[in-house]
Amino acid sequence: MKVIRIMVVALAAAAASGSVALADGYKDCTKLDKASWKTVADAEAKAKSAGYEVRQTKIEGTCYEVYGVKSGKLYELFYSPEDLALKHTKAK
Amino acid sequence: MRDAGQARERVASRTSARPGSKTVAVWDVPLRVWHWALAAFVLIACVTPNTHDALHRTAGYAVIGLLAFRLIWGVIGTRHSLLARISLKLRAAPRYMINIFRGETGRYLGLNPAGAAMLVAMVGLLFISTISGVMQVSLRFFGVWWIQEAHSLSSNAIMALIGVHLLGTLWMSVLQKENLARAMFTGRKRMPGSTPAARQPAGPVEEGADVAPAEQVSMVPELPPHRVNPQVAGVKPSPRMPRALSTYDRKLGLG
Repeated sequence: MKVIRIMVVALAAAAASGSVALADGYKDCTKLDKASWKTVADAEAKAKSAGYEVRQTKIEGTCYEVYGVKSGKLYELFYSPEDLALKHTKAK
Repeated sequence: MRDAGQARERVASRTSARPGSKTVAVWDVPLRVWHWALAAFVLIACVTPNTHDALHRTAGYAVIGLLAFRLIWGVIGTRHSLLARISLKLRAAPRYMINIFRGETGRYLGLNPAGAAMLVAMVGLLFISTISGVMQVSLRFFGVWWIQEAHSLSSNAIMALIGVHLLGTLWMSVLQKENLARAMFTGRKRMPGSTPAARQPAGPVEEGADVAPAEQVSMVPELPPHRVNPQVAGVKPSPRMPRALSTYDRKLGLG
């Protein structure tokens, strides 16, 4: 029954670390109140003007995460809703 | 209820047990390696999304490979790896799972009906999760919302199922007084008829006389029955694990 005991411990550890395990990537862009954020459309327009084909935009933490395609490559662009500054680019 | 097939199975199971031991080989080596490799890669995939993309992707591809292997091994593997009769167990699964909560189980050497349901659910969800994961980073489907939803929903369901799997294995181990997790390492399980409470003396045991009452409570017969090898009949134990579905079985109308 030793293995069973190990399993129980592992299970408890997994449950405890659940929130840690599901940690997100980049998600801190601004401290500004959400009410005064620039719009999603603005962020998408900025990505388009930078030459990206915009597929989708999500709010990730306090960032606008724009899914963009540029010359056949996939990118996730993290814009600050405060001033639309490009905080982070992730090639997929 | 024990039928003729099960009676034969008990004879055949004994032939593949090591002489003097009270265990019988159930999980073959490829199946065990598959199980733990899958567990490892799925765990890696569980802790790497968004943070370690390359590792997450590698784990996903490895899982796809393992899924493919399992389907092939389900056709050419040994008896308890085969998927041919899994629908029989799936049909028994709802009833069986209700009974588990009441603490009543039928013992199966291979997967019990709840285990079979878990296998199908897990493999199905892993398939959805890995394929949608690959699609998610393809030029065609990048940023497509329903692909992302499929990936995250199936992945979350897998993590929930892992918990159910662990608890289920634990609960069954307690109910049947057999460490099922260890069986997935050693590949061997207690021989039918040798209960941990009252161990049988080594040596030939009489047919049907040594079965603990709890072990007669299987709700569907453990199919497929072993092929009865005509020339064996107590001669020498076959070193190979018995195969399940043979031409002989089909001739008998068992296939």
